[in-house]
Amino acid sequence: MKILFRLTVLCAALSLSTASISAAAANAEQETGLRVLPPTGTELFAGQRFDLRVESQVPARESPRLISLSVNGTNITETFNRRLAEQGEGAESGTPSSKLLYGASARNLSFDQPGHYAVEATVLIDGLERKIKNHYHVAPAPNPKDPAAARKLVFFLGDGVGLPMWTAARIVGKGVTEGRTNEPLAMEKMATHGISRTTAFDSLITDSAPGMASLISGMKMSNNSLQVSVDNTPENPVDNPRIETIFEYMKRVHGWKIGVVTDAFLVDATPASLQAHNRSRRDYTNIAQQMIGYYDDQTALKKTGYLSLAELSKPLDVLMGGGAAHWMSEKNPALRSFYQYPSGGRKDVDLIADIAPSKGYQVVRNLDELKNAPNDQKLLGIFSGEFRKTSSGLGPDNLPGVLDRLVARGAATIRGKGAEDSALGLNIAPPLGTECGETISKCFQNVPMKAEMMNKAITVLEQLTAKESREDGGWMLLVEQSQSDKMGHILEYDRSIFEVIELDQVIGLTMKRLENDKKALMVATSDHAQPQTIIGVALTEALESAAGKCFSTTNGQYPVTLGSPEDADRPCDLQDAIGTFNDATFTTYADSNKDGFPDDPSPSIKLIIEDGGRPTYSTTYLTNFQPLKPTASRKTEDGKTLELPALPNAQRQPQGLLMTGNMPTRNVKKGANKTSGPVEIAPHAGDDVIVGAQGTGAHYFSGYFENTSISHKLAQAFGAKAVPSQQSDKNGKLVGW
Amino acid sequence: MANWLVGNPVLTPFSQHSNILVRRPSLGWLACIACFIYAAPIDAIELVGRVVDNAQARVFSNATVQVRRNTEKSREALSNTEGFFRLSNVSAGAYIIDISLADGRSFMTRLMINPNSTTQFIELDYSRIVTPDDDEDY
Repeated sequence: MKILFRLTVLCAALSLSTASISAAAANAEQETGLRVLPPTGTELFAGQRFDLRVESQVPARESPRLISLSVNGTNITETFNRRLAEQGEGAESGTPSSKLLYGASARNLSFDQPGHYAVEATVLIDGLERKIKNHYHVAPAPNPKDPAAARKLVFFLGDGVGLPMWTAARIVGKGVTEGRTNEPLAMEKMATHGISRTTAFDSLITDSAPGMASLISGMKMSNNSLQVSVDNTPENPVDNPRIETIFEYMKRVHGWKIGVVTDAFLVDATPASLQAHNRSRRDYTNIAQQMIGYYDDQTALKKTGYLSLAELSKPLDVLMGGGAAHWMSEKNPALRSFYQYPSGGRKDVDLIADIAPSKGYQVVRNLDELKNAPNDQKLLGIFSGEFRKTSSGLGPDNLPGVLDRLVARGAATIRGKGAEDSALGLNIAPPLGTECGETISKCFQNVPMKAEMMNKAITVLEQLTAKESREDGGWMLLVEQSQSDKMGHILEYDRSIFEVIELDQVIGLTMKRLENDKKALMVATSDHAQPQTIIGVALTEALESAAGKCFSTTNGQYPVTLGSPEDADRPCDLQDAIGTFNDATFTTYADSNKDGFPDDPSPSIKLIIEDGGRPTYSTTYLTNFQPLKPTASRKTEDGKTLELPALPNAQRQPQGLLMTGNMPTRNVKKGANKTSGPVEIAPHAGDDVIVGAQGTGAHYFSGYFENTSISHKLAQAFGAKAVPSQQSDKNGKLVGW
Repeated sequence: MANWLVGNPVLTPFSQHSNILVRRPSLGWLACIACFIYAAPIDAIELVGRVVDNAQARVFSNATVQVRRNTEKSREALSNTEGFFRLSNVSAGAYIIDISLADGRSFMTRLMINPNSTTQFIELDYSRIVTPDDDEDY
């Protein structure tokens, strides 16, 4: 009995010890929320800058005080405090407004050597010494002077592209014969493949901000965060502890040129992740300034002018995308007459008209101007967006979708209809002036395709790099396919497939352009997946004839009558139209003009995709003539838009199959917009995503890894030596004070 | 300093509120603590939170925070001028938290109270649970 008791106590003690170890491994001391940032486990490389922050989250009864701070046992408290004194209290040091919290950030430090580092902080909180210890595995620094190093990177980011969408792009874009693909995707032809986990610091389902940001800085971040950690000063999104991206590092240390090409608005999360640092991905006016390195404002953006931020963030040399309203003054007439924004614009400065040119950027706004822009000058291209009033899917911030631009160029049709058909809303004058073209179709024609943007970007980056003739020089370009995600969100699957096909095309074109370049590396991956999957095929004709014969509404109003009311068994013709298992015959997409895109997204037999996460919506599986939101919304008394995720958009295929939603629907009391989790779109997925790599250093990208490991792999491809063992480096120091 | 509504409906000034801080026990105490933990009900956890909007750079005072789960009566607290609230004696387990801001807006989130602590912190960020706009971002 005594032995049994002792065993029980031992087991209990061991159990508690395990719990303590687990707690110690977490990122905050439990009772006070004491934490050190960057979070433990952040995958840094030597020389990479970060802000070292110590803070408490739970207010104490009296002001907490830092007792000691050490790195691998060496006390750095005095140095840390001296740095804080130099920076001064306030935003530069991230000082909390509450005296009952401790919080201090020493800016722009780095570990000087690779190895394992333990950073331990002790803070006196209400008479007790609280401790927290973080561990960092620091990889060697990039060394582009190494003859084997890559010195050019094209990083392809297919936003929201999970494995099913790569498959769909292959089936639709390449075709299948007797069970074999007619041709693999360029993505599949890449030399190396791996798998990346996408989980964010604070959520299993990441959004695009940490999804992209973690890839190039090695740090897990919270949703909505761009290259910063969350801190205890929520009243200021710009003072959070930051981390340097590998794009910024290569520019700062080796003079590399950096650029981004996207079809989203330029200040959207993915492009902004390259070098903007902000707790709020929606702080667009601030992010735009960071992208071109403009900190000298005295008007609406006082929070931008931090010395440490200006020192850390490196401006982009090439930028192309949409979203003029975040860059131009609200008084600039081109915002209406060319870009077709009915409202919006900056209230302080005009970055396009005034600031960017003064910083040496050539500014272009359409394909013609892009072609004629000099190749040896920094380039800022902001193109017009999806401004059709009859389309509710994207809005003027984002470039028109690939399918819609192809239709405008006469290179595709939608269910047999071309740009001249009124159903597509392209053959009319733009609503706010004809500066971009006499018709919407003309405006869309002059919005460049991704290949046109990418080729120009590479040419400019090559020439800017060559001008400096540095022995260690090079360049990095992010090519984002944004609307693979945005079209997926609104359940425009056919359009989303066209987006992935375009992404794959530019991967292939780049592989061809750089195939003999021994300094080039190409990496392709996604920030996260979406829950789409391929469920079968359907005859377009059958879908058209079945529409309206199943799940009918009453004058477009919901609820609906289920199935066919004439038959007590309630069969559904639209469901019957889906061919799966033995009936999943091969699709019949054709590419008669050999441009790599199907001529029409609805051929005689088309692919059917469904979504594992969705609001309630209606679908015939036919391609919409214009992108449309899937669900209804209404205006509240105070003029806000209230989304209704349980109610389909009555204008979007009301004769279709009613797809019952599984996303949250609860609306908010008193009309506040979109809180409590109503999700009127298909969500992101928590799935892992594929990574492809080609060129010098591609072999580092095989395996199964965290998204944060990609930063290390890039550093290795850029000449860093092999990652060392986990042993502490006794000689390593924190530097940059 | 604003008052804290701790439990329902007892008002306790924040400065008087007890905050039990425990040093990590030495090995000699582990067995006793372990026995205690295994024998005693786990209901002495203090929940501390902050109601904020990171996107708008705001903290919310006078926000009503209601913590509920099916089998128990809900608990309620009010945030102070710096957005903090505190609830004592919360049992371990999964909860839904309803937050009503003073301006009428409201939102909710979920929380797992960890049994291995005496205090647990949560940041309730209005902006974090806002679904991105269709025509903007994701």
